[in-house]
Amino acid sequence: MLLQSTIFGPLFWMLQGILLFTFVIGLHYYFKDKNIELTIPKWLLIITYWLTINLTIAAGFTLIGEDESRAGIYFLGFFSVTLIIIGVVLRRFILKVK
Amino acid sequence: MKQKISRRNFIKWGSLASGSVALAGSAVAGYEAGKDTSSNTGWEREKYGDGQFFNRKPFETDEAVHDIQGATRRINYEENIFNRNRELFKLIYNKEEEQRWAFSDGIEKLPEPIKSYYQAHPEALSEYELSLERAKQQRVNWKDVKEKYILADAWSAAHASALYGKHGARFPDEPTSPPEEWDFRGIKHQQLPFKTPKHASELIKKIAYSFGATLVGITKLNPDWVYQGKLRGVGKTKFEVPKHWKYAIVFAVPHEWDSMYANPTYGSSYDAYSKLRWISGKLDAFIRHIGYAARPHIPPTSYEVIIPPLAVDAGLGELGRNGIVITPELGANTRIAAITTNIELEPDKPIKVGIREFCNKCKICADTCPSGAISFDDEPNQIIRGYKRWRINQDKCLTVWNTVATSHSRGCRVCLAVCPYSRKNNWIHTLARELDPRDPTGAVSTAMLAMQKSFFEYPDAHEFLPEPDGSNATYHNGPEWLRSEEWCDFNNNWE
Repeated sequence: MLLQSTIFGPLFWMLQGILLFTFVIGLHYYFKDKNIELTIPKWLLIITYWLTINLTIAAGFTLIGEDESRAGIYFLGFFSVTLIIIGVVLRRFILKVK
Repeated sequence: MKQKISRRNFIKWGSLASGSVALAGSAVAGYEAGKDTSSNTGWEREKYGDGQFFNRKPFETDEAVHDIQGATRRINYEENIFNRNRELFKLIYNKEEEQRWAFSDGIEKLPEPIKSYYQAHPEALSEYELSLERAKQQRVNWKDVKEKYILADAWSAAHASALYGKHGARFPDEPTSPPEEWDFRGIKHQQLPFKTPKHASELIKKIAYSFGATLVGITKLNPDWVYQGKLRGVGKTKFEVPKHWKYAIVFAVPHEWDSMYANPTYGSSYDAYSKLRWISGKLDAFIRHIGYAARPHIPPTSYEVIIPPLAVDAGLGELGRNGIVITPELGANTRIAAITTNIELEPDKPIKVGIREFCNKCKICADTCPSGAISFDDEPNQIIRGYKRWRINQDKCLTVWNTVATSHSRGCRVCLAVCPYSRKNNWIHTLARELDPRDPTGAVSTAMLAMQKSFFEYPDAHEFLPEPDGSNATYHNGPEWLRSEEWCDFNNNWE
């Protein structure tokens, strides 16, 4: 098990942290180049949305990992659609609301 | 001409890649959390007592946890299915032909107290007749499925060997004298002077954890939970509850998780029962060594007390629709034993964590029970010995033990496996078990149940039975270490 490994466990979470940080930096430049001004509440919404996607994926795969594959796939399917809808609404909100 | 990528674009594209890899990382972390055997509560490698991770304090209650309706009474010896069936079995297969009893002889020719019992419950007798017929067929069917389930059968037999002492070893010993003697046997030291009952309770719990208990609770012994009519070490007799049975130390362990999920054929009752015997025997010896009386009560048959309501009183959990104590940590995968003692202990309080309310609306165990023994009533509505609760049809349940694809009658346990509370200690399930009891609206449990019923797959109840009624289904696939096709050179005819 990768995450229980004495060496790879801590490295995995460090890497995961670096990846998330890099992603947020890239997002910052993306919005800047598009001339989209982000307030703190907007940033909080985006980060919450991103974390929710991560948690949804992790939860679905947790179910798959414990031999509940059907439940995991249905969970991912149902919440992916929900998250896509929320994402579209969130995008409109961020672009339209000053 | 080579197009140069700007530093800014590099960061933007790189961050997109990072985001994608991070999502994949979440998938890996989630998958590993699901697979992680350290989430197997009671079988993990944790510090003593860490398996009892749920904080019960906010959910302790002084309200009555048993719904009393009028006069209550103790349970009679013959009301226990194992006791009355043992009596009948001895009569049907008596070595002395003239003393034998056959179903054709009718209830009138049965001796008391089982005669009166069956006069009041004639359907129980016809169910037992059916059960014996099924047992014969089970032995015939076993020849066809033996290769497939041989490892599961051997694993179960290995655990059972610690219970029945067929080779001379049985720990702890069965009582051979009255409780006033047996429970005090070998006490050489003065009673250890505890600072307070609280100190005594805390120490006993720590010792029980160190012996392997996953959950431990303490309660005063309610005499209604003591059997009437038979006392180990004395025989069939009416008896008063011994004065030194003041408190009960109640402890629980789970079945091995992966085999439990693969009930009815891969799981075994004996893995948990043998652990309970081991813990009980050691705790019994420890208590007597510090100068106090002790008497273990261990399933499946070595007891004078009904253990589930004791566990409810001791704050381990709530009684579920399936007749099993459902605990926050182990769900219905909870096997319990108790020790009655005269140590002055500080009892725990019962808890209310919303399990009863969840059972009211769930009914998954009733839907998937291959015997139809579990009630579909919306609320408990049967008065049993003065207590309102859901009734389990024990006789129908036993018939399925004698039907499923095992070598002999050794249980079914499908209701343990399918219970939504029977979940390991990983982040998603522990999040649910912490959120639900704190939600006064019931919305969390409604949402959980909706997901449970829509996303999870349950075989139809009859699928757990052999052909022609079913297909020997199991709730989950058997764990690879119990699947003989993974290890043995068989023809795999069953595939």
